[in-house]
Amino acid sequence: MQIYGYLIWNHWKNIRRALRQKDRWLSLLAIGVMLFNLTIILVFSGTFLDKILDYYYREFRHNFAGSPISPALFVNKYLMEMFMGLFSLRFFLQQGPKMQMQPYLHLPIKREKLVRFFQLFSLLSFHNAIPYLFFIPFTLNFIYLRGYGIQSTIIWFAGITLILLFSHYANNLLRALHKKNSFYYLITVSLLALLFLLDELVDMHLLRTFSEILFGRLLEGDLLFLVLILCSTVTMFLVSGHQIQSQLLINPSSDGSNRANQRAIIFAPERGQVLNLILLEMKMIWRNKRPKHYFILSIVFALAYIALMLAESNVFNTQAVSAVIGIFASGTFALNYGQLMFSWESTYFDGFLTRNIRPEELIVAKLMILQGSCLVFFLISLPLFILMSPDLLLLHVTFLFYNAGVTSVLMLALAIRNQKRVNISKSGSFFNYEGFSAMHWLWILPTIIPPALLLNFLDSIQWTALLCIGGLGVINLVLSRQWSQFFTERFITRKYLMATGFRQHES
Amino acid sequence: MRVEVQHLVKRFGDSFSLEIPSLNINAGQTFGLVGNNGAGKTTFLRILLDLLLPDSGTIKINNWKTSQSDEWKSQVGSYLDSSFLIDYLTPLEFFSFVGSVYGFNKEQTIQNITPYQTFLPSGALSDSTKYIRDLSTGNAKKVGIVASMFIQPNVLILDEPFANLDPRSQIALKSLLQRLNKQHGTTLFISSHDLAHVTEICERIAVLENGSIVREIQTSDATLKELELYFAEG
Repeated sequence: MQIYGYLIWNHWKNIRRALRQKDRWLSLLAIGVMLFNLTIILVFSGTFLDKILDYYYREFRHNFAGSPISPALFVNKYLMEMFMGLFSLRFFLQQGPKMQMQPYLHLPIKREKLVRFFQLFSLLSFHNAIPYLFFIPFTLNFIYLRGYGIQSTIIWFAGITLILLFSHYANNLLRALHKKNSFYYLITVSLLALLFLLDELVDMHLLRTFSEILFGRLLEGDLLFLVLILCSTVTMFLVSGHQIQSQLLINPSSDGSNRANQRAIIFAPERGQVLNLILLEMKMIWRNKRPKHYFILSIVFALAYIALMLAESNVFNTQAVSAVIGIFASGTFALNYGQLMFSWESTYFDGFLTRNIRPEELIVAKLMILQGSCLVFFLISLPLFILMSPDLLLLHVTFLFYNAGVTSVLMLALAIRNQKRVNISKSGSFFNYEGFSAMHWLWILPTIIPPALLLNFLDSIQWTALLCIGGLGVINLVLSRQWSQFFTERFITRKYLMATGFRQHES
Repeated sequence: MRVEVQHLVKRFGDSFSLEIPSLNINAGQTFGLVGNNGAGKTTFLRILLDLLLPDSGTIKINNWKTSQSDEWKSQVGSYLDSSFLIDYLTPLEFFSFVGSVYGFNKEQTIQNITPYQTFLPSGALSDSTKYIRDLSTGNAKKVGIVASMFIQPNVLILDEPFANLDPRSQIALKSLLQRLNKQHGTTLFISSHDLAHVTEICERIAVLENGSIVREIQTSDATLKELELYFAEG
């Protein structure tokens, strides 16, 4: 038992020291505000869901006979989709326990015990606590006090808890498998996206029917269903534990996938330095977990999210949403990747600075990569616009110019401000914010606000708005050479600060 | 190619400052910098390579001020640490990238690397091999050192080149450095903890202590003993 005491103590110290780190207060403040906001929304929704549904979704909450369905039955139908959404968030945000175990592996503690401890310890996560802000008031208000009886209430609530636990350990398993081979991760993300899209776009309602049956039976107090969920959760706990334990001895860089079995790329001086630098960066994106997943997830995001927005555009039919669709359809990669344009190369930045690479060529290459990514993502999301919303095609073309001209330049400006080191092979998760700071999020606003305002103010004469937005992009594209010169000068003055920052390893 | 340091000062708060009033290394000279941990050797090398801006003073390589011009970069090879390696490339890809930066095509790059083949890890030049990040520390370092040498620089700056290398590689590196110096007249600037190797390669050695050069020695048969005695006495 004493060893568990030490482990808990070490973790507590780790958390306290992380909180005390410099520059964390701004992030903590932002997280605090977000958590407060989330708490209010969830508790309020859990308490007054019937009123909210009556106000916003009156037609959804009535059956064919026209009488209202109880909030519990209504929620049951959407719970599975909600849990899947939460699961996706978990994967992006929640770290698995494997990495925390490394410092203890050489100590005389049984590995099985160590894995169990960290599996249990990993339960202390916001992801497991936050859903209860909704479920506790909801269970009390709309299940217990609506006459479902104490047994049904307990079984339903226990079912919810077990599914949250299942989702927690499924995330641990997926992360562990993902470390071994990112194929599992791609399959899971694709399956989740496909199920979601089938339900939303083709109205197959597979998830909703399953959800309705599962949680409906729990609400009826069916113990058998609870036992089934319990067995699934225990199985997931054991399987994920087994997988984590089996990977403890695998060196992350010796799993075979890192072997260079691809055709070697040869850099030739005849191609010109700019093209060589672009080729190098493309290799960097493809051969390192974090930029690679930024790229893949940007594709998933551009396709799934934009499809959803386009399908539901009658629900969110505002100009601001049009701006968001436009920006993210072709600019999603530039927005996510561009802010770290130099940090991606932080681990070999010193080598770059001392070799015969001209700063202007480096800047031109970076700008061309950002502009090129807008064209690539424009083409990737183009079929969606053609199939689902041809009337938004013009918007899509307009924002290609805006993103290539304006967003790319803004992202490069941000990248030159960034002095934070990024370990590109450390973690492949999309929401690994290493290298970002709160300021970087705020800097996205100048990208989105001007076109949103233009679209809003010029609502009645949308052609003019689109012309202005596209025009801004075209002007900036024409000025690419001037922007490159400007950024080259900025780069030359800031390179020492950047190099010093990139040498600092985050603790 | 000549390296000149004039009135160099770099302060880090009140705790440490690097101060080198004057240091000139003539073209083709082999210069060694020795000193204890924290003496300022790496800081000095970073300033030499324009990776760190000094508070005052100038560095000139062949009369080019390093902080004001990029001309010197085409003449200087350097390897300080792993931040000079692009570790997601294979060694061959890395050499081809470095070669392209200095204007060598694939054939020229391979031709220039051939003399270093025995020093490099086995299979480093085959098409299908490991990425640099999957090599051991010593082998990755060999790739970095060769990348700084095969371009046949006029000035070569290395930080701790012998650390992490196995004995055979240390001996091979010594002869490769001497050959580069003799055949191409490359000026060598080597910082090291290894007194025996430095005295063997360098004709001139400076001892750096707390940011200042406290002793300069023209290497002779007695130098190694002299240095050992100096560091033993603390």
